[in-house]
Amino acid sequence: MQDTFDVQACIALVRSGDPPAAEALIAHLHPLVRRLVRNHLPRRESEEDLTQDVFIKIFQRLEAYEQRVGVPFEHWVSRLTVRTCLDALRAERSRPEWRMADLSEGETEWMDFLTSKQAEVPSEHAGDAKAIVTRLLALLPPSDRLVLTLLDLEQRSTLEISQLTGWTRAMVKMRAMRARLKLRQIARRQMRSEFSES
Amino acid sequence: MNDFNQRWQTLARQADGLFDEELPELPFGFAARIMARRRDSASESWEDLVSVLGMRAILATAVVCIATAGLAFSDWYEFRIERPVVERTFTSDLSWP
Repeated sequence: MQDTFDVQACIALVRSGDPPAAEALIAHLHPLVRRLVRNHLPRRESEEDLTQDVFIKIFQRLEAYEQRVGVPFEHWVSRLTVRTCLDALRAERSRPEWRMADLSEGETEWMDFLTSKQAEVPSEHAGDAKAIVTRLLALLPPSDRLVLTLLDLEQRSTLEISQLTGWTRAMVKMRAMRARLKLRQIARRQMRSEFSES
Repeated sequence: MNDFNQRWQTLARQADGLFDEELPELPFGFAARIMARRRDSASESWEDLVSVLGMRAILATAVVCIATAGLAFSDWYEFRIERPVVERTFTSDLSWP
């Protein structure tokens, strides 16, 4: 069913004001939009609310959408979703604060590994890797968080990120490099704060 | 820095499943809510545009009025200050013996 879904025909029906076509388009795009929103969700934002905001934007701008040869409609949607998430991240006034004392044993081991305090990969606490990555990324500025999530976690290419964000490939590489540098500074600062506390 | 990058990449790979959690089904009434909000936001955006433009027009008019009044008042005030007080008039000269 999903394979035979004709997006362009559906868009034409939506433009002509056909509510069932709009519902079908939402159902078709929901997994894609939801996944992107989840990956780039601001801390205090509801996943469903932000997904709704994205869909509102999609429908508001659908009239301006022009089909391009070889570029699926989903690319346009992905780009709009990522931009909306970035705006939501930027709208976040404050970033979370956490201390080393707040971390679990596994998370602390990962921080030790990241800051070269520990040589071995803490393989017993693989599950805590997600938690510490989320904590660290939340301390980064929105653009840096976005680029590292897309590049290092979602394993997207610089070309894909360029298409999603509208940044040039050189800019993507530069932002990623700077973001990792900031990440290192943040990790070190967190470790220093641990020693100053104790 | 390279050492940190390698360690970060290792951590990122371990957190690879971070986004693999199963997505929820399309919530019931989700599409209907979107369509309703879309209708509302369409009228709201138009109303907002009018209200924003209207407010700007009022503000711009107020600024122009105040500026004009200020200029007119300053001219009138300067004229009053600088106007010489003529005590001896032409007629009084003529009448002088």
